[in-house]
Parts: sequence; structure tokens; C-alpha cells
Amino acid sequence: MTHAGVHPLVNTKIWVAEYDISGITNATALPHGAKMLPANVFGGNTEIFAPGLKTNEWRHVGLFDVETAHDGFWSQVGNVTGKPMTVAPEASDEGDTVFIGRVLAAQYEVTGSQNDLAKFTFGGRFDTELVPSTLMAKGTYLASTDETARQLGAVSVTQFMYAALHVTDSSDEGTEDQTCNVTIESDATNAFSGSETTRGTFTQVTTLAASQWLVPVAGAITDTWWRVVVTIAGTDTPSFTLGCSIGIL
Amino acid sequence: MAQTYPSIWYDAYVYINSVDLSDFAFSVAFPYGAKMLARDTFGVTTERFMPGLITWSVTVQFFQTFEAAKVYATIYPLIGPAVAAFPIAIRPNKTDAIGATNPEFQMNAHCESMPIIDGGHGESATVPAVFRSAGAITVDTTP
Repeated sequence: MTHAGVHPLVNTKIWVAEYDISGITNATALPHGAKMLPANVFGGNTEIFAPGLKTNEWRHVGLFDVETAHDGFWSQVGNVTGKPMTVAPEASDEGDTVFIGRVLAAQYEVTGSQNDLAKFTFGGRFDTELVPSTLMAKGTYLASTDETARQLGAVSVTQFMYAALHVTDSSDEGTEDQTCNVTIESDATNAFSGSETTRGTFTQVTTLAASQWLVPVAGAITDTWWRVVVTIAGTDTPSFTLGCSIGIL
Repeated sequence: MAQTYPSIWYDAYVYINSVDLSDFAFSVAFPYGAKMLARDTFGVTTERFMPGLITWSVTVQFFQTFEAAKVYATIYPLIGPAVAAFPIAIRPNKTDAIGATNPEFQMNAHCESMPIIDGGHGESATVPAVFRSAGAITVDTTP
């Protein structure tokens, strides 16, 4: 029997802050649930529960690589300012389902034994929602690009639009004038021919890598089509490698 | 074929909030019991208990999938505060009719947890979904 969507964990993609750690990670977990609160009253003979607050955690395990993200992981532990994280469970093509949130690092552990590969465990909690999202832009951008519009839906009056940006590489070495601007637009149709509205603008990225968690945009927004616009400028062949996702919750 | 002893579960029925997820489930744990309340008093040398409230939970191991109307799409919306209880049902054999040797356990539940993802490279994407009691169990043996 063929089970639609059943898949092995092979192409899982993970961005944490300005790092793509997929290449050093070999296990990941995003526990998600709600606290079960006892709701027993006289007259019943069976334990009864009521759901309380949602709980979310994150944990990545992999092979220790001092050159990739070690310093970044180390500095994040205990940092009161959360960093954006994006996890793509199955695949990381534009349009794929991802999960985004702003994470606080509670644990970074490096372990190893004689003649064994050194491993790391990096994990913690969220200071935002864990938002089911769609990967809207991914790749190395050499020129300005209007990414594919996708129908993600409207934002109700009780919902917010969330977005995470990870810039993992930049060609700017600090001496050029290269810039990368990423904005989020919405429209009532797939046209984006002048009637679109800018819903969010990330802070301009210049040198080095960067990551940003867009301040959530409150509904109501009746537009159902969304896209990411990447604007590249500067001399000496600028390029920026990034991933950007949008979610509504 | 009706379940007989010894029985091998190969066609269990898993029903979550009006969705048959049997095709994605490969393990069910359904502990059922009663809280044991100590009632020791002076003069006895052996622990004594009395049964309190009945307790139960259901843990189903699923192959995770993000397809519409499947595991994630069905269970994720059931997690959170103020989410109303929903019906779940478990029985040993999906194909056979409900009966004395194929009872269906029907109850209302809340979902305590289901990881979005939890596994290692190269492993099957599987997740345990844990359901807690929102009411008593009804054991249906009527075909």
C-alpha cells in the first residue's frame, strides 16, 4: 500500500539564525503539545483533562563543526534575544511546508570519546509561536527577483502573518556597496501588477550573514496571495544566499 | 478474520476526530487502569490500596505526513487551549465487524502532544501522538 506523503528523513533543512546547519545535523525534533490540566469534579469516575497552553521545544543533534556554527551556537545560549529558526521536515524547495519560530537557546552540548566523532546537541524553547509556514524564497540571489506568488490565505482579525529571513552568505566583504532588501507583499489575486500591498520589510542586509524575525503583522488582511521580493543592489557582482518563509497563525 | 488468541495486530483501526488514520499508524499503546490510593492505617503490616479514578491514555505511533487530511493536518489543529474534546476510536481489527472479539473502544479525548518532527537522518519520519482522557470509555461490541 502506498502512503501518500510518508517519507524518510533525508532532505530535512534547518536554518538557525544566519546558519544553515543542515549539513552538520543528523537528527532533529520539534516537540509540540498542550499542557493537560486535571479537570476532575465529583460525580465522574474517570480522570478528565482540559488542554492548557501550547508547548513547543526544539532540539538538533549533529556532528560538531567548529568552523560552521560553533561560535554562533555558543553565543546564543542564554541570550535574551531570540533568533529565527526554520525547519523544513521533508524538503526545502520553494512552496514546501516549513515551520518557523524565534528560538531561545537553553542547551549547547559537545560530546565525544576517543576515536569517536564529536557530536553536538543544540536546543531550547521558543519566545514566539511555532508557525506552520511556506518557504517562499531560497537560493543565491545575484539580481533583484520577484519570487513566485503563492496563495497562503487571508489573515483573520485574530491571526498574524509571521516571517523569518536567514541570510547565510554575502559576497560583500565590507568594502563594497552591496545591499539586499527583502519585502513581503500581498494581493487579492495572483496578478501583483500594481495592486499589491507591502506587508513587511526586513532591515536591509549589507555585509556578512544575518537573520531576522519580522514583527508579526496583525490581521485582518483579506488578500490571499503572498510573495517575497528580493532587491539586490551594488557593484562588483553582489550575491546573497538566503531563505525566507511566511506563515499565518 | 476475527481476532483470536494469541493475536497479532496487523489491521488495527485508529480513528481520530472523524478521520480514519489507520493507514498511517503502526503502533498503539492504550494503558487503562485506576489510580491506586493508599489506605494504610495503624495495625497493618502490608500496604493496602483502594481504587480511585479510572485513568487511560492512547499513544499512537504514526508515519508523519503533511498531506491534506492526513496525520499532521488532522492532529495539529487539535492541540491547544480551548480546543474542544473530540472523538477517537480504537479496535483490534479494522476489516472485521465490531463484536465481542473485536471490541471498539470509543472515547472523547484531548491531544496532549504530537511532535512536528522527531528523528534522525535516513530514518522514517515517525511521530507519537498522545491523547488524554476527556471522558469515560464506551466499549462497543455490537456489530
